[in-house]
Amino acid sequence: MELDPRQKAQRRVDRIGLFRQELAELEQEQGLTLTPEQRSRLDAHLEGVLSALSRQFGVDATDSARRISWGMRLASLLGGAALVAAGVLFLHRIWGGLPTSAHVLILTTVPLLLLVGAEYAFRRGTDLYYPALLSLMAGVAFCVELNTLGNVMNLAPSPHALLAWASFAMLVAYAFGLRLLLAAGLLLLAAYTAALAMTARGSYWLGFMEESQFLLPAAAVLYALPWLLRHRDRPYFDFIYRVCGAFTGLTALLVLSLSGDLCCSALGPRMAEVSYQILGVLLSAGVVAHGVRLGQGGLVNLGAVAFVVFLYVRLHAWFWDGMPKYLFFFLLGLTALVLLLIFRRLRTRLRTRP
Amino acid sequence: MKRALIWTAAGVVLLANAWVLLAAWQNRRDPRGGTVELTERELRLMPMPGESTVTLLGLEWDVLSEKPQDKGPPHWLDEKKLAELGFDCAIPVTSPIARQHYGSMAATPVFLVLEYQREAWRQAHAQRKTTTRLFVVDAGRDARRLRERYPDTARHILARGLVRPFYQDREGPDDTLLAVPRLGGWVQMVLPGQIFVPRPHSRLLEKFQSHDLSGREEAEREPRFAVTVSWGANYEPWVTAVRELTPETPPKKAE
Repeated sequence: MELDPRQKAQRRVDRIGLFRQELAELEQEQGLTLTPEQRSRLDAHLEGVLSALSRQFGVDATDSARRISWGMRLASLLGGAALVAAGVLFLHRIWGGLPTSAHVLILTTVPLLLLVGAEYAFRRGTDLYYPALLSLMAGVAFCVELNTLGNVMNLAPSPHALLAWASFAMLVAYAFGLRLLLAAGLLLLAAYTAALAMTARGSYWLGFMEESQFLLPAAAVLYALPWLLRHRDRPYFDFIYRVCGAFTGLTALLVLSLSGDLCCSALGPRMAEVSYQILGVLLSAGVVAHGVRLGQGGLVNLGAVAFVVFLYVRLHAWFWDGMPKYLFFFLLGLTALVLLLIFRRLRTRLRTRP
Repeated sequence: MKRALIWTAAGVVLLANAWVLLAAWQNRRDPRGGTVELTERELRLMPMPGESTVTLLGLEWDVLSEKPQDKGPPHWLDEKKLAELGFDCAIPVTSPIARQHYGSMAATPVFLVLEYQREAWRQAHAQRKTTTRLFVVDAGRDARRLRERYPDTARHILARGLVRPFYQDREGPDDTLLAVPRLGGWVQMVLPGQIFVPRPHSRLLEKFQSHDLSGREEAEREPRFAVTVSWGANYEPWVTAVRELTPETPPKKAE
């Protein structure tokens, strides 16, 4: 998987730490002895690299610094969650006493303030964790506030809110280079296209969860976009596009394979279910193969999980009723062993990749 | 580039909020959906958690079924009506794929006609105990046509809602197979199902507010308040007045 610049910097710091440990071992075993001049030049160079990386990316140079950083992150996550809970409960406490104008002002301001906070944290610090946390909070606040404003005004739920949330998440994700927000934005965008298709058909837009065939075009586009749209400065975004596309498509197929719904009912419900299940098995195997080709472990794992789920659904449909239960589970066990062998071979192939 | 993206994201927040406000303003310009004074029977005060001061009223409605003594699907929502509402009812109910076809149909947004304290309520009330006096009596895809059919905005409310078909081939507690399967529809919900009460109207309702979330049914009692609600140009509601009901200021009588 492609790494962001900070992760690359942290990897290099880790490699330097390991290199120093190995060098000390070698010197102890007298496998390699550096002259005092070489030693001081090497130390000066490595210290220079470490301080530059620490200055530029805020990476942790030692294990203890890393542990403290994780502690700080955990504390800030818990503190942030507690502050959000305090804010929400306080607003609940005073909400009924406020006029509508104050409701509008508060609801509009909260996500904007969090966005300003994320920008401030990004400018001040080098660690992306805090801007990411604040951006995520801004995204959640925007979802909650738009929903609340609609409730305060007694409006019927609208699918266009999905577009607003998706746009916000994607814009902030591209601004700061955040994967989680990008994934949320892409999934919301896929949901929006499906909701629009439902509306165009005359059905209620929230029904797209039941009629998931409308998610398939968006899933295909998301998966194909990295071929058309290269993220030169953020190659790790390509992976997010593919994972979101594969996740949306395979989930939609799984729902269809269980419900048997089909846009063209000529096949009949039973045949439709089988078709979706076979398509699901083939596509998840395709995702695994593509993940192996790209060297992206996340894509391989997603495809593998989907493959197993589709296979089990099909085996259940074929054998559950007509087979003794012990034999059915024995068959599942055997299938798992075969899959294990296949995945071992895949893992070996992934490991041998540069 | 980054700055432009952040500014655009902030613009999305402002634009979305402005869009909601504009939609609310447009809705409230013209109460063409109707204006009715409902009581606590039709607008249940939603219990709120903890120290919340939010006031929400849940819209309680009913339908007149084929057998008024039972709470069943509305009698007027038959196969013909479903086809009129845009559902594909071309497949005969006796077809082997009918169950799958009708069972997988998604809910459709429609306009509902709600009648307060009139014929539908009287018929149902004569046969069974009814809490609410607000009854859904018709549905359509064209609000204008419905208003032509039900022109009195003080008698009939037009609201948004969802309708869904159902396919029934068995009946009764012992699941007896029907000779001919039945196709009907049910009103899934009225949108929005809850109405927010802003200041100053919420002040009067504060003393009735419950914080008991256990879901226990309260003892039957006379309604304690009446709320005038208007449904606007987009057929979405808002509260225009609230008053306390006392023996001196009783609710309006049924005509």
